[in-house]
Amino acid sequence: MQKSDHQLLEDHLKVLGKLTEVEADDFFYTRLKANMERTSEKNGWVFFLKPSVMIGSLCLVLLVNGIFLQQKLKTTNINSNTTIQAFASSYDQYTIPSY
Amino acid sequence: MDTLNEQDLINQLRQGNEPAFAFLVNNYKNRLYSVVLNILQDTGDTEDALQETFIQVYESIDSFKEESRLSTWIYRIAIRKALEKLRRRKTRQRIQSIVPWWMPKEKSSDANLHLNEGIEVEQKEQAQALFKAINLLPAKQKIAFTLIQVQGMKYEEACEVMQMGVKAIESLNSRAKENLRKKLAAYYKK
Repeated sequence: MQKSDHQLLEDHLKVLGKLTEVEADDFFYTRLKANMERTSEKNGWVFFLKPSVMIGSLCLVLLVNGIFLQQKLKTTNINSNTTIQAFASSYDQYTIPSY
Repeated sequence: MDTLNEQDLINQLRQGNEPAFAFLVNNYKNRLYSVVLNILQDTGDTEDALQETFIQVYESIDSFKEESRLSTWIYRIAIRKALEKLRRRKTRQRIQSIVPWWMPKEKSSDANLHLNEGIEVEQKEQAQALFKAINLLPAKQKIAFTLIQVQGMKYEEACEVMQMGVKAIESLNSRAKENLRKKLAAYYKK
């Protein structure tokens, strides 16, 4: 009598019980530790290469530059105003001698 | 550190104790290797998936809520990593079929050679045919079938690992068998 496909499969599945268990090799833990160390080293650098970190730092640098530039412009204006004032006032104080 | 109960192991792992981590790896590596190799059927991918599993266990042990056993949680991570590898492999194959010059062709899987050590030649051939057919199953069917039929896991355990109900696992397992029967029909006619 011919066996059905179901029966054939059930018979075929019995081969699974005869397989020897596979094992990870003895140096697995050593490789894992090395990989973990590499990953943690890389992670330190990767943090600085993150787009959000890079864009954030760029914005911060631009902001600080902007503030400094603004302050510098203000001081220049004040300085130039003071110079002109001093120049003008020195003229005001100068009286033409009469003969 | 020969024996350690689960709670002590969890506590020590949370403190970053290295011998505890070594104990965990040595205790679980073979069990997980066998499951993941049966799913991925590639030794290189299996090694990668297993390393990623243990790294995740080490990094996220603090987020382990202890709602399930530690072994179930670790199995779950390993299965997730295996699934990720399967998805990546599928994407890679898809890209390769569209632009073959973009990616080099993958080497053929060699896992069944490792699986069949120590068994007779005829059975070796049978096992190879079976694993070839298992490899063609949809991912979830493959995982359910591997856990239950290949690893001999109980349905309840498989349910916890796959986070599915018993009915769903039973259905996946019977659909996997049905698909295997179809895929192996030509082999049986030989």
